[in-house]
Amino acid sequence: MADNLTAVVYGPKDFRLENLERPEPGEKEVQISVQSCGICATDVKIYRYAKLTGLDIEMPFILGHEASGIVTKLGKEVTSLKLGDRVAAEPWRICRYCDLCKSGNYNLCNVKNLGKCLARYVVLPEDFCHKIPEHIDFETAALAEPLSVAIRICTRAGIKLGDHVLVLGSGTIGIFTMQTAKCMGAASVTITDCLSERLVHAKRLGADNTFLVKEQSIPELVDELAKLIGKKPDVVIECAGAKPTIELGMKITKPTGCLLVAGLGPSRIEIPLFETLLSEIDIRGSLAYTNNYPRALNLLSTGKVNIKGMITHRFPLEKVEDAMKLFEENPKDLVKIIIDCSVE
Amino acid sequence: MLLGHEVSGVVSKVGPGVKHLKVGDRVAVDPHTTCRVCEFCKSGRYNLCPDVFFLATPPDSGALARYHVHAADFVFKLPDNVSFEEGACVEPLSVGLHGCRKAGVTLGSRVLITGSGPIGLCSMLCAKALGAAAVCVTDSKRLQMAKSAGATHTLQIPPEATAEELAPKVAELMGGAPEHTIECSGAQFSVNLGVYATKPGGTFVIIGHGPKDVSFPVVACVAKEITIKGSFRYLNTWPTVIEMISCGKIDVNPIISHHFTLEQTLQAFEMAKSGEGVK
Repeated sequence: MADNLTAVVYGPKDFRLENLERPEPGEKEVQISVQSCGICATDVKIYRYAKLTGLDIEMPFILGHEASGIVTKLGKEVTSLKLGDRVAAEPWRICRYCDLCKSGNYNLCNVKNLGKCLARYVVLPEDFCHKIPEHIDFETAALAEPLSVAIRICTRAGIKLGDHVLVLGSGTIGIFTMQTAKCMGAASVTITDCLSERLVHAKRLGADNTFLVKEQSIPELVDELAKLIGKKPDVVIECAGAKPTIELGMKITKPTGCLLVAGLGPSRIEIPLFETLLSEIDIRGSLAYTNNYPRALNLLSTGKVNIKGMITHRFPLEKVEDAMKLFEENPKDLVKIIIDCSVE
Repeated sequence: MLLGHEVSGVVSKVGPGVKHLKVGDRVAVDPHTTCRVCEFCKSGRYNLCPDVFFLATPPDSGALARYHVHAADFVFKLPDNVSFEEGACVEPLSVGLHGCRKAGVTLGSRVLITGSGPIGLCSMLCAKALGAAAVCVTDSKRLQMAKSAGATHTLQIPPEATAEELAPKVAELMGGAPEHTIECSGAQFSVNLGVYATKPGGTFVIIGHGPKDVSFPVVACVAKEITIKGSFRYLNTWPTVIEMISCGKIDVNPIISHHFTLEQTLQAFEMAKSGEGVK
């Protein structure tokens, strides 16, 4: 049945909404009727450039990786799910055989592929579909994906009880990172942005301090932020992918601390590398997540992570290109866009 | 069911989708075939997979035969300078390596190994490859092979000794208490020796399978902050062990004591049961 409306990128800005065949589940796989799917910066980068730093992708590429839905078909040998189950979809296909998969690093699998959730139907392996509790709606469950990203960011950054954490950038990842850091026992979490509207959300959702970045120089920022926090932070998480914020992170992290660069930026930037290394500051990256969905769903369902007010815009799947364009315009009131992929 | 889980051989046929091996490749085999979908497999601890197929562990059959079929990603190429015998020994060496990793053995470590059988000796070889400064092997009997295979110290356990009395002798012999102990005998005495002899703050890894319930001094563990860890089989060890044999950091040949043909398997088991040989 060619009723699977799907968001497909064929080339830079060559985007088509097409009715494809519904995908069929193989052994240990399930077919899901997608209900909600979030839009992320990577979707928009692929939409615009038909490529993405750090990920090998081929055209045509089906967008969308932050999804939830209902199980509509079971493949052979499926034991943990049944028809009608409501699930959060962890959108990876991994090989399971390479040395990265077998050492618990499936996010780095050599042959992984991602996504395909901006559609009416998607097929995923059974063990990558996570049941959601009754009281969690599909929009919230879709946010388990960016929250899983935030959990890995915080884990890789080594946040411990009593740490003072600075988050640079108050978008979805920044806000989720801020909340996750608090759940991990951070003594304080300070969050910055150049848009005051975003800091309003961060404050409401639990940030201990917010700081508006204007025209200050980096030394001025280091000074003011260290005063605000009370000391140089133990952990800094850069969620903007921009040279000035990375440089700020390098200058403000305390010696022996950790700077986690989570934002996606240009392939090459000029940074003060050696001073940072000589302070024994660890600079780390983080890619996606491994085995975080259960924790993300637990944080959402117990209210330890609050998403209220984060979903600022909604579009039906038919209007997904409008959503991409809105994301590119980046209006001040934008935090998260959710696409309704359900069949009505 | 067949026995046999310490395997090396030559690839004679390749199934669909196998990319890294071809017919004629000389290989060693990790006996696992895991489920790949459970939380243990996906978090990098496939040795704990509850649905694993593991050679020669009832009801799973083994590889003591002319031909055997195995999941290709658990089969590893041997360099030309690694013999088939050495390739088969990658399995017990892997038990030793996994134990040493869990114990945190590193450059300069002092390591106590209780039990001088194949696993104790393989643990000793791995500890030395990891840069241990001193490796002491204890046993009530067979210590000559430990010495000739490279142990820096050996200690014969006198019949009337208590673990508490023997512990200071270990420290004296080694020039200081060991920070890492690896138990490879299953004997209650050795579990006790591990607790008494390990340096405060050290790590005590238990590999040996002994009686289900064992009496040992818990309070000593607490007061000395000894970390006790169980070590089960191995995890992602084949490439490292093969490379260490190939570059000469591990020489397992001294512990290979007996050779039999497949037709002489029963005699081989009888020899093993007698305790006269090692590997």
